[in-house]
Amino acid sequence: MIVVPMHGLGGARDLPIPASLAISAAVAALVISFTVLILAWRTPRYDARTQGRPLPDGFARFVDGAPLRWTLRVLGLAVFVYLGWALLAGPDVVTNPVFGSFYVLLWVGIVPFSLLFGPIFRAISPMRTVNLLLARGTGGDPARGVTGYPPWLGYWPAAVGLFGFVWQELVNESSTFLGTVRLWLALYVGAMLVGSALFGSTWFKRADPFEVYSTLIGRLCPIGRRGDGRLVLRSPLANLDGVEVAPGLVGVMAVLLGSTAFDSYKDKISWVDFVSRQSLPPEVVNTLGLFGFCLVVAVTFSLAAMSTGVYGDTRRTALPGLLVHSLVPIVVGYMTAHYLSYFVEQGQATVIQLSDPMVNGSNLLGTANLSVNYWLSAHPSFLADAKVLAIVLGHITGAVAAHDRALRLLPRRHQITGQLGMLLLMVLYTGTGLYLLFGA
Amino acid sequence: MSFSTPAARTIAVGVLTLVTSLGVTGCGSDSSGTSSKDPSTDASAQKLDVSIKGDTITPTNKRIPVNRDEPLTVTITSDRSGELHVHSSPEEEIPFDKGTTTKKLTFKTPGVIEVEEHISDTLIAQLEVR
Repeated sequence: MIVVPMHGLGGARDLPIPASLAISAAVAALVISFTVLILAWRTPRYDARTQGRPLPDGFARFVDGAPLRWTLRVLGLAVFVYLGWALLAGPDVVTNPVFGSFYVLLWVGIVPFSLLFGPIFRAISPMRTVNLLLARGTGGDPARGVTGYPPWLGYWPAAVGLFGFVWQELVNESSTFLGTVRLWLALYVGAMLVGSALFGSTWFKRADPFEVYSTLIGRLCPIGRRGDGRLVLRSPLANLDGVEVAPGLVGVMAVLLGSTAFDSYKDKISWVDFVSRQSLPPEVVNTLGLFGFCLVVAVTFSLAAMSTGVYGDTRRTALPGLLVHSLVPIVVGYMTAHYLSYFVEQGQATVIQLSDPMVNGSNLLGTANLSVNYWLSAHPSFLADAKVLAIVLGHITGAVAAHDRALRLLPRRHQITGQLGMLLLMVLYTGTGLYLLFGA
Repeated sequence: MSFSTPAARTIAVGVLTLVTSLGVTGCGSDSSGTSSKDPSTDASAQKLDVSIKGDTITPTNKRIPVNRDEPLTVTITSDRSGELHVHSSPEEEIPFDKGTTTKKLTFKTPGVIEVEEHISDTLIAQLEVR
């Protein structure tokens, strides 16, 4: 039996969270925000360059050693080739594991795997490995390309790539047909190969949407690297302080947060009704909606970050970029709330499908006879609590990160008032996130 | 990694606030489950009637509460053949021909399930299964 859904992957969605839970979480977010502002420390505490307890030499040798590095690279390449086979030779049905691997294991999986292991995509990235092998083969340096990476370009290519991904996932009505996934991945592979030939491996750090996303989320892993390159154990907040600021970072975060919010919003009956009443094709209306959500995040965040007095050599226009790392935990909270059951349940389904890439009943990996455990969906009350807790924890962590950075950036007399705009905005984001879960 | 007093205090106050506010509003008790169960709705009365005339489908974009483990009777009256897609986990499909087709569905897992008509690409309803 072949079922081709018109929408993205996945069957049932989560029930709306109870109103009482949404309201109490919103109140908690509000109160905690001002508690942070009024009671928390008055001098900056977090410094990713110097802080952290060094990990034992043996552990550092294991992590940075060639055996682990090459194992991960080979693993990444092997998965890429295996899925490439399913992508090019497999049947165009939704049970082809390409879809689950692309939309669930890769896209949603980036969050838990990066939280656990840090910038993991960088270590397995097949395109990085191809660039490395090409450079080795020609006697070149993988880090160098034809020319240097222009600093003004910053993270903008990644922001564009991320928007391209969320468009494919949320707007493209043919997202579960092989043709569009092939096209998307062909463009991705082409952009990565050409970019790395031009600019060397810096290209991956700034332009690979998956690597940029994974490296940002990996900043919340308790293991990080000091300025001197030493592996250390430290508070995720100290690690988060080390997010590399470059042009386009606000754009990247806006796409991540705005698209997750739009994903909740687009399934509301009122939006579906609105789209079906327009004379424009649904894909155009949804593209505008998705872009609008991202734009609203970028504009509101920039305005809130700049709504403060500044002094000395801090330029007001630099503030959004310097504060936007505080959205990383909020994105993790949103993603968890939004994708927890989807990842757990659709992820299991994908692991089962991975054994049968040609959808002909084979069991190559030995997982084909497993069945999906729907425990999480069967316990909606637990699920709702977990989702709300993730949103509130993300909010607290984000508020603390913004507070700590504001202490470093803002003149003393603006340290309290200068944070008000940002705090109110975070409360607004959290309130919106809860409202979307409540009205799901 | 040791937290200084203000940091610890902030976190303590934050956690206390959260616990209190969740406690006061009775989080965890799934009170919403009972409210949707109208005592006048008999289990056998759970139904979804779909009428199809070419590309005109009624109803569209509806939100319908459904009790789980109780059958939902879907009746399709159509002037053409087609297919309803029920996006439960796992997905289900109801092919239909010209005339009247009846199918009973029972959902075991709570969630929001979309029912769509495949040929006209129309969302008929979102079933809110509790």
